[in-house]
Amino acid sequence: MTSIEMEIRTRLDIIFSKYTPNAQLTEFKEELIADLMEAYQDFAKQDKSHDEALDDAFDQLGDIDVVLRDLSQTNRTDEATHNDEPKKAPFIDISDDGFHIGNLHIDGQGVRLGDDIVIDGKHDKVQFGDWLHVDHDGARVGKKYYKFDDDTNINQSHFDDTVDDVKVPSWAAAHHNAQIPISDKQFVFDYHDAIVNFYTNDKTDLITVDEYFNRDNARYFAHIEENDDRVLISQGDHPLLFHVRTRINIGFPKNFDTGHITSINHSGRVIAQNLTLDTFNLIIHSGGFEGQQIKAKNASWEVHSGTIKADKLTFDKAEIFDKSGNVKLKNATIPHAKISATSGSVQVDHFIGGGQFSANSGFLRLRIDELTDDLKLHAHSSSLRVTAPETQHFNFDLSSNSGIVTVERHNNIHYDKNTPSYKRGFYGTNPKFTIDANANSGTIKVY
Amino acid sequence: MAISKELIRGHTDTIILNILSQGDSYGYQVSKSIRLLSHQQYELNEATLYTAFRRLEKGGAIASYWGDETQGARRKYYKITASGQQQLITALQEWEFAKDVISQLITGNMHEGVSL
Repeated sequence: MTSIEMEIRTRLDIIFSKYTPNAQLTEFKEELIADLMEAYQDFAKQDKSHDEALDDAFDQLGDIDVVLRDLSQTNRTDEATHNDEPKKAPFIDISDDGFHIGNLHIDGQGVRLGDDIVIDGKHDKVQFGDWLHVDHDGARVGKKYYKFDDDTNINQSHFDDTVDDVKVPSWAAAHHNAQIPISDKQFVFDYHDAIVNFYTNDKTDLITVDEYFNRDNARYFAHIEENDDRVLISQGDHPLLFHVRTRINIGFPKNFDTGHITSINHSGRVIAQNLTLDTFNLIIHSGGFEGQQIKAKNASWEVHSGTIKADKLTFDKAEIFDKSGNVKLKNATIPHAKISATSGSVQVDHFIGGGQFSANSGFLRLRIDELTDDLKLHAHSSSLRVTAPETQHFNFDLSSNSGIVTVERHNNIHYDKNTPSYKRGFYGTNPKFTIDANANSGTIKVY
Repeated sequence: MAISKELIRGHTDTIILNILSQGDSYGYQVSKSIRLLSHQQYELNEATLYTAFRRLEKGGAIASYWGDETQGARRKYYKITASGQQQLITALQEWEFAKDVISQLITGNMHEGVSL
């Protein structure tokens, strides 16, 4: 048996130990071992260390407890049917197993009243009859469903496949084109309900706006207003009763590095690629952002509900905030970064720079190529994992209020303080920058 | 933009049946196929996948057997059954019918050319 297989078995044993063993659970464990070993091999290609790849492999399991509980209970109901005289539970029962009065049960799992009202602490699930369900995936209230976005991987080929090109959409019934000379004024694009696509056009000093609609009515075309310091491009009339499919392509001249651009979008996603600007600000209320190859001095992005995915970013200073959705960045060079997510996760791969990162309820995962400044990281209720640069020396100050702190480096490491939940010290001989990380209830790992 | 879980949830079984109808496979490989088929837009974690495997196996749409790997851990393979094939065909017909109707319902105009 390889040492990897041993480690996977040991970790699985811990997860499985909560359940009474049966044949189905044992078989399932064997299945998972094979899967995890293969997942480990895949992650080992992109992660730097053994432990990282192992943690990543286990992360992709998802909420495996649901399956385990199901498998362990199948057995119990089988036994119950074999047993002809099921034991009748007393009306009031207080024991180490919990507290039961009639159909009110309070135990290690949570609180249940019949089958209707369930507060399941173990699986973070709340259910009130048919009309309220809240779990890791989302919340359903009556007929409305609110998704908690939680996909965890940035995919290599993502952008190659999905960034829409600037062709005329097949459904377009009307096309409106406007050209605006560039200047150092602030350009504000304000759209209510449209897919907005920023790209680089073939002009030298013109911004091109191409609007496509699936219904032909000149009232839908954008208005352009200009005053001394800004040009406002705002979406035209917008019928309330009918949905007008709208696609906006906005082209900037190549290397428009004096351009101050702000995009406001109320509903619909925003796509941006191959841009060189001075400022690129984004406000999206409902809809995601996908970006590739964006260069700017300043960027300030605020997304209220939607995922931010971007690759190849070069900013001097960037503030990125996602209220409800994940932030996934790749190949980001940001000397002064401030990146936060309230209810989603933050994941940054191949990061060069420094600054602040925080995640309130999702995980925080950073793979750093190079530090050019101090890092301040915070995760409120989930785990925080950082891959520090391989060759660069660094100070660290890591604390978790109720989780465990581990540093997976064993040579050239010096501790000033070393307790399970607090570690301070430095790696190497000549540390310049500090990784300061704090977690409230999750664990912290530095690789 | 990510595909909404609510939208895709009802199709999980059909997705798995489609993959298994193209050859026997095991858990991790099925989840990789899903990533590949969706051009990285969708992924199922192992927990969701195995819940679906169990449901499909109980319903007789798929069956499982242990592979005879000589090296490493043993793998459990899943194969589609005749009844699973039938279920897949039915699901595809339902989808072909539903997708046009739904598309008309959510994008169609009551009075073409009239706007408010």
